[in-house]
Amino acid sequence: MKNNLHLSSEVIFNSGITRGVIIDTIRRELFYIDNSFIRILELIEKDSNESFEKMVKLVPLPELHKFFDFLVENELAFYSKGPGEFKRIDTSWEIPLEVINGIIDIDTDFSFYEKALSEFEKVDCRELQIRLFSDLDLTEFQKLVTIINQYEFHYVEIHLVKNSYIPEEEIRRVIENVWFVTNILIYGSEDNKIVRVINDTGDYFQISLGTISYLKQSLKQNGCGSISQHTFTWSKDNIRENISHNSCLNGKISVDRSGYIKNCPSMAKNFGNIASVSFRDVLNNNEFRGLWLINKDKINICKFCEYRKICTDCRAYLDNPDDIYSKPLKCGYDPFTARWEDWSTNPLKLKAMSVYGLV
Amino acid sequence: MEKLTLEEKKLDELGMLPINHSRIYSNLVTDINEENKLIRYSSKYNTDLLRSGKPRKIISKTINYSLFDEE
Ligand code: SF4
Ligand code: SF4
Repeated sequence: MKNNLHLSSEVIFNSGITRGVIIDTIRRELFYIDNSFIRILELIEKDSNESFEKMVKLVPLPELHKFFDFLVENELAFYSKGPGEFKRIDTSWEIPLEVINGIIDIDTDFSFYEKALSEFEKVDCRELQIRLFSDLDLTEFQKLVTIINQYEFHYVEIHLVKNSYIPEEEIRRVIENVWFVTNILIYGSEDNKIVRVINDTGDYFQISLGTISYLKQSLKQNGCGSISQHTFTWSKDNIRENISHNSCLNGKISVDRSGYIKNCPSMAKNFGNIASVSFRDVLNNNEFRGLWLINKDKINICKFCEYRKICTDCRAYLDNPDDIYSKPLKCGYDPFTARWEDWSTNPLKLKAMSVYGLV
Repeated sequence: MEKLTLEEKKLDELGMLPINHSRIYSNLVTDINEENKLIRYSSKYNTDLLRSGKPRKIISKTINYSLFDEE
């Protein structure tokens, strides 16, 4: 190589059982390549003196040049005159938080709501999802909002079932007035639409305060866990986390509709009721934390998948409900054929679907 | 990304800008008073926090995320 070739710092790559993939995390683009070129990318990354000789042994020279041109054309790599100081993306992951996010499910019993919020605050959880499964009346809804406004979170989203008691103006008012509530989702709506709550500032650029998402689908607890290309993550922070941790459950703590503390409300295993057990006790429990460390490399089938660094996970709905290392049930991708199919019509999944009450 | 306009510039108009800035987007300025409302002092963290429109990562997967592709 006359000049030195470097991979762009925003680019990562991964091999799978049938093909490899280059991931441009900035442009959110995937480039599929033969696995032999993954070895070439590893050598480019190493940037040692012998790299080029090793590359030529792996791939014929004209093909190698074509591959370099492809990388440069797509701005996945660039040349420099000297070795330079081009740092590659750091894949280690650290965060100064123990709890990253939480879920509170509420049906008709609100008695544990305040206790749950105070527990979330105590463990410094900044991001929260509140899922309200029953038809609330306006007073109940306003009460829940007034209570949460006494706490300090950074991001809260509220999932609601559509009803006629809470007018849209009220939902808007919440986003306008409660600083950390920026997304409200309303299930069972007539249409799928996303309405931005805009702060209309005349000739100035409009500031979006949040969104109200109207969704036709119904809010069901066993509706969680679907994996598709739309749930892939492109943030480098998330990708780094995925490499060493479980992308959904790491740093998550949840309270189900009966007040039981769980990794996720859809899971059967609970770690005690919030009425008598603190989050601190649960966070010290090895079984609870063990799930945080199940990364895709430990999961059957996913470990062969080229998407494993960007894919999110689900440990509540599994192909084999008795095996915690089993592939997510609601993923229709087969890394052995490189095809996406509708998971819900796969006859091999029927048994697991009936265990989870999905058929 | 509403109201963002793509500016087409010739190379010599870019002056000393680094070459990797070959696409430049511009938009109307925001009203600083309104923008300030997105920032809040947190006594807990002893710092200013910016209002967050999205979670750090997907919290749960109950919705059809294909609807949010443009977001
Ligand atoms: S583990 Fe599955 S069911 Fe639980 S929150 Fe994550 S995606 Fe949803
Ligand atoms: S096989 Fe696993 S890693 Fe691949 S897309 Fe499905 S869930 Fe994600």
